[in-house]
Amino acid sequence: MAGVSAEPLVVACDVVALVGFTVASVAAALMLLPEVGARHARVIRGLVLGALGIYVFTAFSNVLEHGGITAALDPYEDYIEILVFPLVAYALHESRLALETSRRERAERRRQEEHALLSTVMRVLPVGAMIVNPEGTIVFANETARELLALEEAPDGTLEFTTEPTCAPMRPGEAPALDLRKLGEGLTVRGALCAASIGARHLVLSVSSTPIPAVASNESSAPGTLVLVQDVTDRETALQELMDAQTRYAEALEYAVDARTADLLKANEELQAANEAKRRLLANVSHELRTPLNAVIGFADVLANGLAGPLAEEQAKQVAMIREAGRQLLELVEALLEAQWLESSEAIVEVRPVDVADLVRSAVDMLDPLARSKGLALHAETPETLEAVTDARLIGQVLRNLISNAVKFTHEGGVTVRLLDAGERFRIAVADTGIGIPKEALPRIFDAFVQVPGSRGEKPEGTGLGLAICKQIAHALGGSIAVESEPGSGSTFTVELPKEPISG
Amino acid sequence: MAQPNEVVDLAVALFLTPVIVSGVRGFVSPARTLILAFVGCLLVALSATIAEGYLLYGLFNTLEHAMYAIAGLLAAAALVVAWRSPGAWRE
Repeated sequence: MAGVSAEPLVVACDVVALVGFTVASVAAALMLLPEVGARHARVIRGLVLGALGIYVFTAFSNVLEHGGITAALDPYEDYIEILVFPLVAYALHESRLALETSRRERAERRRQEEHALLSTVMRVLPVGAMIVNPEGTIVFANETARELLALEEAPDGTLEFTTEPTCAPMRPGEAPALDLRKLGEGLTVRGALCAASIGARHLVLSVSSTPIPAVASNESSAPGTLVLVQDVTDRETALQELMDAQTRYAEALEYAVDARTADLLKANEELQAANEAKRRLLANVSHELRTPLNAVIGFADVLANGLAGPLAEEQAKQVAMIREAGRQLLELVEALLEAQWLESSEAIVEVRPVDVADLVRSAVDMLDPLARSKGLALHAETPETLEAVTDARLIGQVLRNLISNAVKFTHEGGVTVRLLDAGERFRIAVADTGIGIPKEALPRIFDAFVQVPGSRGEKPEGTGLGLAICKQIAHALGGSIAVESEPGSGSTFTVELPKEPISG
Repeated sequence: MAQPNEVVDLAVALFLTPVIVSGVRGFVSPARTLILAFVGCLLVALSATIAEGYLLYGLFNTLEHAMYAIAGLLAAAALVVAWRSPGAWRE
């Protein structure tokens, strides 16, 4: 850079360089370096300012030289310019050193914080914590562990038991939980319970242990095992007491249940005996009534038919009354016998293949004269055939009871008997246009001896056993019976029965 | 002819350039590229200073000063970026 001459382009470049390096110097002076310490920041800033200052000087010298003012500063440029790269390199080196130092300081600070936190946790922990090294020596124990296990400090700084504790496992197959040699070798246990004797104290201890992982830089040397010991004597005692109480309660409950069961069995036996006595009485009385009744009706027939001589008009009228009363009484006795038979274990359902459609048509044919005598129409709506394996006699009885009931309580219109195929079951519906049943009487309509009064309150004719017998038969055949009724519009009784006998 | 101190300047710069580049690349900063470009411009300027003594004086002289000018702008830009992003320097 010798000679003094005015070169506009070069001068312009020098001015730009002067401005650029000056601005850079100002920025370097103001730049914050929060990642590094104050001393390092000062050194780095000084080095950078030194390097930039050299170029400020060089640019200024060049402006003077190429602007044709003076070349007096030019000789010094080359001597100081040699310092720029070393200064920049040193600044970078110092920066890295500063960052490394800063990082180490942060790591150390974090380590101290964690150590302080862990120390605090260990100190206040209500659980005894200790570290057993691979040689089976206790190298650390917190206050709780020292008190719980009666530990004292040995001259070499380790800890040892004042009196050697015994710790018998409480669960079969578990290793002794306070075996320091095994713990030091890295024994892992989770809440092992042991009955410990430490001096004069007898405790239940819960012991957990896990090996402390070696740090990455020192994997060959295992730091030992962390052992947590908790006094659970109160908990285990309470648990044992609870289990004892539970056992006592279970025994008392069992005794009470046995006593109650015996009472119930006795009551049941007494009830069965009473029921049997009632059944026998009813059967005997009914049987004994039927024989003389038949004689009364028979001799009344003889008198009515004039076989014992002619009767006066009044006599014939009174004999007819005797016959009618006898017939009603006989009906009642037979219904009682039937109900009793169905209720007793003597009732045997005799199943065989039958055509239910045929049964329905037969029943309708049989009762058609009765319906005609009241001016009612009696219809059967059935499929051609409907095969089922069931008791034809009992179904016939249900049909006769339901149809005769319908005819009895219908004064105009008619009665329709429908047979419907419902897959594995069939339904018989007997619908009438009769007086209907009041809503409040429906729940007990199938009870024995229940008779619903007519619309004018008159007592209906009959025993009150027909529907009860129907219900018993339906149940005996594995089916059900239901009724729908609207007072004044009529009733529909529906019996649903299986096509095949239900096993069991 | 080239002056001895100019040759020494270039030799020292070339010797320290790998150290500087390695140092700069060790950081994560938005100004990193600008600093590397700044160093490159200085090397070109030093080289042009020597070259102008042998041939094409006018061209190399202008190149030298242009490189200083660009280096000045890059230094200003790098330090302004670094100044405006405190805490951006990371290893």
